[in-house]
Amino acid sequence: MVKSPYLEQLREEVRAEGRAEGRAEGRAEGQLEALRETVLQLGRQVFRKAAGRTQKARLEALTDLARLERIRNRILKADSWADLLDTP
Amino acid sequence: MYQTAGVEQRPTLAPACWLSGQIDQRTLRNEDATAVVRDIGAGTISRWLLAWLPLMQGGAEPGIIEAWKREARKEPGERDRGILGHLTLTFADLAGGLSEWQRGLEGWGMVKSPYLEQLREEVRAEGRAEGRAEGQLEALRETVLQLGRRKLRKAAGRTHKARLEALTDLARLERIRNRILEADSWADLLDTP
Repeated sequence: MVKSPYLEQLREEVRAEGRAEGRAEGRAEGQLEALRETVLQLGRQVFRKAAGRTQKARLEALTDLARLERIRNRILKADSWADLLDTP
Repeated sequence: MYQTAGVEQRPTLAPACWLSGQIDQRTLRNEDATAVVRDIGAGTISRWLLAWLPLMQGGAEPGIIEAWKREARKEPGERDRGILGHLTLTFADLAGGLSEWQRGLEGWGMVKSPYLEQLREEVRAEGRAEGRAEGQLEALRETVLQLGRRKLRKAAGRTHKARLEALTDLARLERIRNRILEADSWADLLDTP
């Protein structure tokens, strides 16, 4: 392995870029995961019924963070899983 | 310009088998960059010698850098052009001519290097794991604030927000979230063990 300040700088730049890219991707994934799990957990408590397979699949397919947040924020008002997951 | 040395190996176990060869050592700082780039252009020597130009006589002159670009563009593979570019800058750095070469190669496409792409992927995976944990914590804190306000009919105060912000234990935040419906005050909720 050749040692040179140029290569070191280049490696550092690539490391920093790669880490920042990964972090941003992971952060979005983590938020989605936590929101889906929140909807499943609290929805079960509110509706006294766990989400069915179709409802879980609908939730799993959601990748729009803002919509998941709106769904989460309607948990206490919605009267059924279908109503909750229909949140626009 | 050449220093030569012979090598010979005769294993005692099989004396009939032997290997010999001749090594030519070239001192690149004594080579003329203009002549080398001309020979590369004529196709009489390998294009990969472009990487060593910065080490040669006149190796940081603008004309040489332009000639480097002209010849390097003929390399059909993007990956190989990238490797050639990075090798050249590495040698330019070692020869003290990095700034001239960096200026000269500015905007020249050499973004891909398999080694650097592999490094990028490795740290990207590390960053992704860190980011995922951060994202989960953020979403859970925000969930507690949003749903806590709706359930308790009161927004969290500064102290409660600070307590929540200080929590980095994901499992505990999940337990707090799961108690939102039964808690009767912010203090009760945030006291969830």
